[in-house]
Amino acid sequence: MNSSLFSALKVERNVMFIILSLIIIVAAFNIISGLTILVKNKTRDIAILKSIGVLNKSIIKIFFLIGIIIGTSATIFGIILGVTFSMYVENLRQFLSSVFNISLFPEEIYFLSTMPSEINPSSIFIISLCSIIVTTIVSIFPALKAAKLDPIKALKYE
Amino acid sequence: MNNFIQLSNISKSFDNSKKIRVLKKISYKFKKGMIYSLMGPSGSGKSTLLNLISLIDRPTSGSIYIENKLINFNNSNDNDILRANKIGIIYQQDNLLPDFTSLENIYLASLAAGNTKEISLNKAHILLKKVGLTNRSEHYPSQLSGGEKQRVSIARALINDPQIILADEPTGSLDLETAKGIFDILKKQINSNRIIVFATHNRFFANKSDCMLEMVNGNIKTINA
Repeated sequence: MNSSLFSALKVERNVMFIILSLIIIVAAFNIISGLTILVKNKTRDIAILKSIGVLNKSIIKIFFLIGIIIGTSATIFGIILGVTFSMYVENLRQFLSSVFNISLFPEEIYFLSTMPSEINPSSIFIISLCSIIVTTIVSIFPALKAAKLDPIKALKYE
Repeated sequence: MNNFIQLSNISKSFDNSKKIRVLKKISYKFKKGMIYSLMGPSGSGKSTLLNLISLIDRPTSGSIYIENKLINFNNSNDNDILRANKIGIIYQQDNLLPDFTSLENIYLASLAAGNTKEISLNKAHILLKKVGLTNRSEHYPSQLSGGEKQRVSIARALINDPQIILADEPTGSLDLETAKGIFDILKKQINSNRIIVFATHNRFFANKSDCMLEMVNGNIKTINA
């Protein structure tokens, strides 16, 4: 009876998945560009470290760890923000409706007396894991770039 | 017997728009227990030669032997370890990490050589005392004068008790009195197991070395030994 409605919901779910995946890709590129800028800004420091005999693998480790720290802390922050939002989504809807004096998601149109929200721990775990894995992978490239830096050029021209 | 660094037909070219041959088949033996001064006009290849000896750069052709061992420039890992343990480098400009204090700048080089933090800190404190900067241990490079920065650089170069000290115009950006102080500290570091090579434009300091070398047409000429 409601096959078309379920079909529409399924399409919406898939579209949401694509949109969220794109957000993760954009975030990953943000981490790459952020770390690349950091490597560029720290060119001279990297050259100094190399001149005192710091191994390339240690330099890779430094920038790799920075990427992982950024990715992990952002993931934890995102989980806290997302779970809080899900828990208080109805309160938030009422608050925004009263502040802006508009009816957000009216019941007569959406057939919902309250905003539905479900916190699914397994989804949170999978998304967190994916996010940390993606940030870990993308951190490798700037870290390798840092290790490949020519200390002579850096010390001469920086 | 005490030839510690041996350069064998070392050449170095830079490929820019036009190929520049900076060093031309240099062969030379540096002996332990000696201070060498390296003179020559700007662009004569002094820094390039020091970069090659410090294994930061690689020659276009030729070989370098340290302690009779041929350096393999394809093995950067081993060369980094060798540099951390046996080579101390002092540059003209303060090459200190701006986000680290004097003490941290010094002990970082010891950590790079594989020592523990405790040992590194102890050594750094001793060296800071040796260069007369005990009261500046927690100061950042931006809070130090040019001479103080150079003294921190010397302390950093000495922390792993290196057998080779390379100084690229260490007094170049300092006034004469400060430069004399820095040179005195540097000169005191010589011992029978160590080589000091410093590049300079200043003949006053060059005259104080055991062996004066001059870069002429991409080669080393011994002025006095």
